[in-house]
Amino acid sequence: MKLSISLILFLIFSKNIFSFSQANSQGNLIVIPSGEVLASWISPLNPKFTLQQVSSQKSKKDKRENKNKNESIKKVKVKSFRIMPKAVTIKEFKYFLEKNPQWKKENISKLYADESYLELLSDELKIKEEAPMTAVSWYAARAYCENFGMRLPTTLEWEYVGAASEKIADANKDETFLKRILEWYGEPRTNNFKPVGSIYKNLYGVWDMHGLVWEWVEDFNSTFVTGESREDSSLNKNMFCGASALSGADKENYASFMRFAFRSALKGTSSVWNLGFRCAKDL
Amino acid sequence: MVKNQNNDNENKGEHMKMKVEIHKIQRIQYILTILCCFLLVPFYVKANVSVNVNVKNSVSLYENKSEWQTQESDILKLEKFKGSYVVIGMIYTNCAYACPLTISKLQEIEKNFKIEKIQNYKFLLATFDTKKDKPEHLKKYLIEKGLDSKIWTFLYSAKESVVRELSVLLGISYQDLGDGDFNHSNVLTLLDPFGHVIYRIDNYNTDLKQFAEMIKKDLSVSGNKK
Repeated sequence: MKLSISLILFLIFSKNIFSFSQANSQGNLIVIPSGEVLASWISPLNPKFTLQQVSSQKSKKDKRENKNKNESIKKVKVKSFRIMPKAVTIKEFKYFLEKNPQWKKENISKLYADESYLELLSDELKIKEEAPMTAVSWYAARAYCENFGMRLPTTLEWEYVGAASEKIADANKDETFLKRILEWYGEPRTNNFKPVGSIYKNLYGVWDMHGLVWEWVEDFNSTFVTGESREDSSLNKNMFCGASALSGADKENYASFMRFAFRSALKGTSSVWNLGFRCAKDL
Repeated sequence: MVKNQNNDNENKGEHMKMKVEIHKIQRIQYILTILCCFLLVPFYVKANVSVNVNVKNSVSLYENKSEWQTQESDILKLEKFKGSYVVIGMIYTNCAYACPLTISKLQEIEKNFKIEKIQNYKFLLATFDTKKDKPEHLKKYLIEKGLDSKIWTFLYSAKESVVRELSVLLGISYQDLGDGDFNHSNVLTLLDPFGHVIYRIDNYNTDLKQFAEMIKKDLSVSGNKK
């Protein structure tokens, strides 16, 4: 009797130890409930408008928006999914590299990583193991997630989780929250990253969606943020096939615009010092 | 007697000293020759590495080993197209605006190839649409457009992650609008017979003759087949 109890207890604990030894990547995913969001979350700017044109055409747009109020604001469904509570740490990624040496800096092809790849793993920098893993390319981040049967979150999923403050699910209209985010974005560079799980925990129990590092998403190349362009119409016809535009609302959310602008400047090989990631998984 | 012994000892001492000196000198010489050999090594190493002129400093797209299905339902990897100049892009058949434009731009490029007597080329078009553009559908499209299947190959994958990966490799932005349509940028990439990118356009408002020009340029520096 005692033996069977202790055996069962042992199995339970060993499972925890096992998942711990996999450096916490598989266990403890948080379930995010399904919901509905504004389509502008995944397409904050219509490619036909730059920031400058947006402000000058505001009066025209307002008239049009009032006319077709129901039509212009599209909504998108978010299916329930699971996400890692914290960004992948240096310790976790190092473990992955040991088991998958083809992703080490000396073995990686230039097709999958640029010169800055893994630059923060250099011993001289002495960055703590619990800091978020950064300077990883999109391909490497994906490979990490795939290795544990997971994937990168989509932009929609990431923004959905990122919209939550400590108390409410959609804090995109909460000025204090937006102000905090912009303050974080304004902080100067430092190699001394705070450890994961140190900035703030949101309503779902997910840590540091803002304020620690930027994060990779699966479809980072799915938004079209054109730069300064005055001859807009011809340029766009030739550059983009845009059958429809999922956009309209929320141009006041400058923080989200910054994220979109940042993402649209990335390439798959980009290994940026403050760009990390976390993984997601279907239910 | 003692004096002689002393002399002998002295001689021996000097002998020993001389031996030590000689050994020292020999050792120094030995070390110097080894060092000189190291100096020569870079020359040898260089000579061995840069023999093949065709090996460029860039990477080959064919390092990617994802699997695709052609319009004939053949399963292959992109490296299957090694040996020809390849123009690769992405479309979807349900596309009303830019995709027919893509086809016509490629046909323009083909016309120019014929004028410049370039024969060793292929056109690859991968689809964004994992749901609708299955191989049978792509085959219909190819026949509808009157395209030569010896030159044109359409590629399908059921996995969105594979399609997304190719778009990232080629630097093509795209968004699934969920209603069967896709927003996407217009990019055409030219690969040499080894899969290295030698030219790329990201909008169609450009001189398409450059494709033939870049092939001619590449031919003149390498020994590739025209």
